[in-house]
Amino acid sequence: MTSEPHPALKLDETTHQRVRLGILAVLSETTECAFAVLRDQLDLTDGNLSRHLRVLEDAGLVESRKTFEDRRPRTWLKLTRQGRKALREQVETMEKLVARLRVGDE
Amino acid sequence: MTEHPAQTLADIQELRERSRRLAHGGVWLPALLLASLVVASTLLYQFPFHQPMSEMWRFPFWPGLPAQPRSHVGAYLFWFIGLPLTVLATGAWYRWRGRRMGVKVAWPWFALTTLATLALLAIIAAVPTRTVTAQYPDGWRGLLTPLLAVAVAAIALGVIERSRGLIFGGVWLGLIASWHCALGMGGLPGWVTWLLSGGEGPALGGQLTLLGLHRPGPVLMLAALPLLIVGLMGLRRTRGGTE
Repeated sequence: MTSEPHPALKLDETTHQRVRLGILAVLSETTECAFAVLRDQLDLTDGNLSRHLRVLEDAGLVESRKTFEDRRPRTWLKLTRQGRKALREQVETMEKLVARLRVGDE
Repeated sequence: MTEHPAQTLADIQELRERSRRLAHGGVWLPALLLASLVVASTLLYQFPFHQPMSEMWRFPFWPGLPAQPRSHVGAYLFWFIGLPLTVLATGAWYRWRGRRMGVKVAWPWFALTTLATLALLAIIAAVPTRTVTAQYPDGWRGLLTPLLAVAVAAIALGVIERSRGLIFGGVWLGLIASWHCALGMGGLPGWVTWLLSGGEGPALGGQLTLLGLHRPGPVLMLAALPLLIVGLMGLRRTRGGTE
């Protein structure tokens, strides 16, 4: 007899981090999002956001594109297909975890 | 213990909803442009609101509905210039809004779908076939109307903008245009008149004249109503789509 592993074991280290999950959530609703908008939506500093974005880019979940608009540099960010899948899986795992914990509490 | 992941999920959901409002707050303008185009096409008809003694019109229905146009060429140009201009204006709006708000939507897919549908309509209408001698062309050929290209445009935009209202508006417009183009203005099939008469008598079909729904003016206003409502509600909610 095999039982399904506990949902907590399926949580992904890269996406489970709260800020990174927030980044994926914001990007999932847009085709492209400017760095400054993402920073304001998540209430982060430039450095903090950059650090988390680097992790997500290295994992292939987020792509960035640099442009010049009105003679100012601007960074646009978008979720990759892999990133969209990772967010969906992470949310599903968390929902299972919450359901499991609720059953345990009753 | 359950509170932490549950709270995180709730926060993520709230964040997504906030981002969605920010990203899709510009839908009101293209919705209003599409609705205006449909309502403005009322001007293409010789008798938009009243039934004349006799009426002349040709297939394909370049004004949009099977009713006498002021000019066949004018009707053709209205859609084949008007719809691409609407797409162009929509693209310019999304580009401007994207730069200003820092969020972009996939509007090029809307442009591509709309222009491809319009081109397809022109190509299918140009296929040489036998002359349509009946008052209304048989089957699907009756559906060669620019109004269906507008319906497809609204549905494509609704999918991109994740707007159920806009998708409904496109389907609604498509169904109304198909109804009038396939059965004639206000035309009712035999089974409907048979049902309306309580399942008695012959199923001869008929015409719906309630509220002038056998004339292009009222039909176009009814067809554009959902798009107009989506546009006005969006404008009110976002105060111009830049909030």
